[in-house]
Amino acid sequence: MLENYQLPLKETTNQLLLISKDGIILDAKTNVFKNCIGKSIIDLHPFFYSLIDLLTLKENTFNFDCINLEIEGKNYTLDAILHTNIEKEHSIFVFQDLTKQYTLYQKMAQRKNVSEIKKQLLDYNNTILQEKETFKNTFIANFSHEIKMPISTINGFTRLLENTNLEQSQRYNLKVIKNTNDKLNTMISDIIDISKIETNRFSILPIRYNLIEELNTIATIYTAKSKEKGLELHYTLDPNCPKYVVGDKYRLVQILNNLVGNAIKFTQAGTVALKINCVSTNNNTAQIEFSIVDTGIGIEKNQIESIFNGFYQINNNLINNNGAGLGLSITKKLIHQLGGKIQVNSEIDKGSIFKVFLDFEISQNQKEDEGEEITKIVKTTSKNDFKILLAEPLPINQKKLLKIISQIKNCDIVIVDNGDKVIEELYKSNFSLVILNLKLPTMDGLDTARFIRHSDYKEISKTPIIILSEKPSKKEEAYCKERRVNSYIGKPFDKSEIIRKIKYILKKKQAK
Amino acid sequence: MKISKKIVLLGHFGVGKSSLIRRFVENTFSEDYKVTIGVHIFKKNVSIPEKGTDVSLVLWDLEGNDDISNTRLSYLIGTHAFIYVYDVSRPATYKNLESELEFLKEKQKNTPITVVGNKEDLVTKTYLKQNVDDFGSLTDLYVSAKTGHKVDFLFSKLAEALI
Repeated sequence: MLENYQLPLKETTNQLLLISKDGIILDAKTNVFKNCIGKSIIDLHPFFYSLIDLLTLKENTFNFDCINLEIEGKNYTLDAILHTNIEKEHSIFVFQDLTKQYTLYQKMAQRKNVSEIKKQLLDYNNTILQEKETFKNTFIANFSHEIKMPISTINGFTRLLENTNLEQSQRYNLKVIKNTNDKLNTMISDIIDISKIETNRFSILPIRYNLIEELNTIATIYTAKSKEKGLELHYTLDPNCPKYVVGDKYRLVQILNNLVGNAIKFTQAGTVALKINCVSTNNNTAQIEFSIVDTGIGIEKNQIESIFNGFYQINNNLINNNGAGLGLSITKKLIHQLGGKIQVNSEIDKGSIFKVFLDFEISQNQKEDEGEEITKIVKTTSKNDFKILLAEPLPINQKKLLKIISQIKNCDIVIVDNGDKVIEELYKSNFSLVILNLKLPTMDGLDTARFIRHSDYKEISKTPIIILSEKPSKKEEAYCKERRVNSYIGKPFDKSEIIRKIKYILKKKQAK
Repeated sequence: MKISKKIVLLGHFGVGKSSLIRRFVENTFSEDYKVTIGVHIFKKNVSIPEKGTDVSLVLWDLEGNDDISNTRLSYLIGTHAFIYVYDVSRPATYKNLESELEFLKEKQKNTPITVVGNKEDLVTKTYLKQNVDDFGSLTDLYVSAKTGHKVDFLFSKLAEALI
C-alpha cells in the first residue's frame, strides 16, 4: 500500500535516462527532459558534453552534485549519478531534483558569503588605514627630528652667546631668541612624543630619583613664573610622600610642566595651587595625587572631554594662546603610559582643578646616594689629551662606567643624563669621544647619534660615538651602523671590551 | 561535428566568476551579488577567423571556495582549460594563489591555466604595480566584468589557443 504513496514522490524527484555508448537516449523516466528518447544527450544540455567520453569506460560510477540546469526556461538543481556500462554497454543517468533544498542552502550561503566578503574588505581597508597612519606618524616623527636639529643648533649657539660680553639690548634680544626657540622645541618634542606613542615606539625610562627635590624644583620655577604674571603659586607637599622613587622622572616633570604651565597661562588674576598628596602607601608603592588648581577662565562642561584631543585650542581671544594645542593631549597620553589617570573639574570664570593620580615604586634605598652627585660633574685634570662625553641616565651606571673609563689616562670625562644635554655639551666644547646609552631621556641614543652625524659642524659630526645597549639585538646594531656609530657594545658590559674600544678610538683620533 | 571545449572557472567566492561569464555570454552585468552553489553550465560559440573555424565554449561556473582542495573533483572531468579568477581588491582571494595553482596542476597535469585578476576597475594601475609581488608575476590578465575590459579578449584568446 505504501508503494502507492511512494510512487508519485519518486516520480517527481527522480529522473532516469538510459543511454547508449554513443550518447543516444534509449529510454527515459523523467519530467525534466521531455521528449528526449532518441536524441543525443549533448543536445539536451551543454552539461553532458564533457561526459560523453565516460560512456565508453568500463563499469564505473560518477557523482555530480548540485548541477544547475536551465531546461526550457525552468531552473533545476539536481544531483546526478552516472553508472557507466552497466548492461549491454548502456549507461544510466540518475538525477534527483533537489531544487527546493538547494534553494534554501543557497540563501544561507548568500548570507554567509556576503558577510564574509564585507569582513574581508573591512579588514583590508583597516590594514591600509593603519599602514597610512603608521606612514604618517613615521613621516611626522622623522620630519620633526629634522626640525629639532636646527632648533638644537640655535639652542647651542644661544648658550655660547650668553657667556660672552653683551650689551643689555643684545642680551634682551638673545633672551627673546632663546624663549622662542624653547617654545618651538617644546612643540616639536610634543609632536615627536605623540607620534612615538601612536606608533608604539614610546618607552618609559625608569630611574631612581629624589621625588621631593624634583617637585620642589618645579614649584620654585613656577613660583617665579607666577610672580612675573602677578599671580601667587600655593605649593603644598604631603610629608608622607616617599623621598626616593623609581620611575620616569622626565615624564613626571613634563606632565607637571604642562599642567602648571597651563594653569598660569589661563589665569589672569588670583592664585594657582600645586598640591601633592600621598593617597596610599605600602612597602613597594605609593599612590600620589597631584592637584593643580587655578582661578582662571575655566572650561565649558561640554568642552572638557575635547581638551585632551590633539590640536585643541581654548577659544578665548583674551589669551595669547599660542602653541600646537598638543600639551593636554600628550599629558593624558603620558599619564596613561605611566599607568595613571587624570580628572578635570572646571567652571567658567571660576577656574579649573586637574587631578593626576600616579603610582610610584618606592626605592628600597631611601638614603642619599653618592652616585647621584656624579651627574654633571666634570672630572678635569690639567691639560689632558682627551675629553670624553658620557651620556647615561642611571646614577648607579654612571658610577660604574666612570670607574671603568677613569682607568684611561689623560682623559677628562663629562657626564650627562639625557640626549638634549649631549647636544648642549657638544656646542660648548670639542670631545674626543661620545659614549651614549641607547635609552636616554629627551632624545634617545640613536636620535642623538643621528643628530651628531647630521650636524653642519664638522667638529660635532666627526665625533666618534660608542653606543651602549642594555638589550642588544642585530636589528639595533644595524640601526647603529646606519647612523655611522663607531662601536656598539651590548650588555653584559665587559670592562676590558669597553676600555679596548675606547683606547682604539682615542688612538686613531690621536694619529689624525 | 562542431569543436567544443570545456572551460572551468575557479576561485574564491565573490571574485566575479559568474559575472565574467555573464558579460561574455550575454554582455550584461549586475552589481547584485548572487552566490553560486554547485555549478552552472553555459555555452557560447566563438568564431576564430584566423583558423577559419568556430568553437563552442562550454563554460563551467563553479561555486567559489576559499580552499581549492574542497572543489568537487567530478566537475573537473574532461576539462580543456582552467580560468582561475581572483579579486584584485580583496587580498584574501589571492593570498594563496601560488599553492592553489599548484593544486590544480597536480590534479590536471596537462590542462592549461589562465590566471585572471578581476575587478581591475576598482583599483589603479599603480596599485597593480605595487602588488606585483603578491599576484603580478602569476597573473595573465587583468579584467573587469563590470566594464567588460578584456573579457572577450580573455575567452577568444583561450579558444584560439585550444584549437
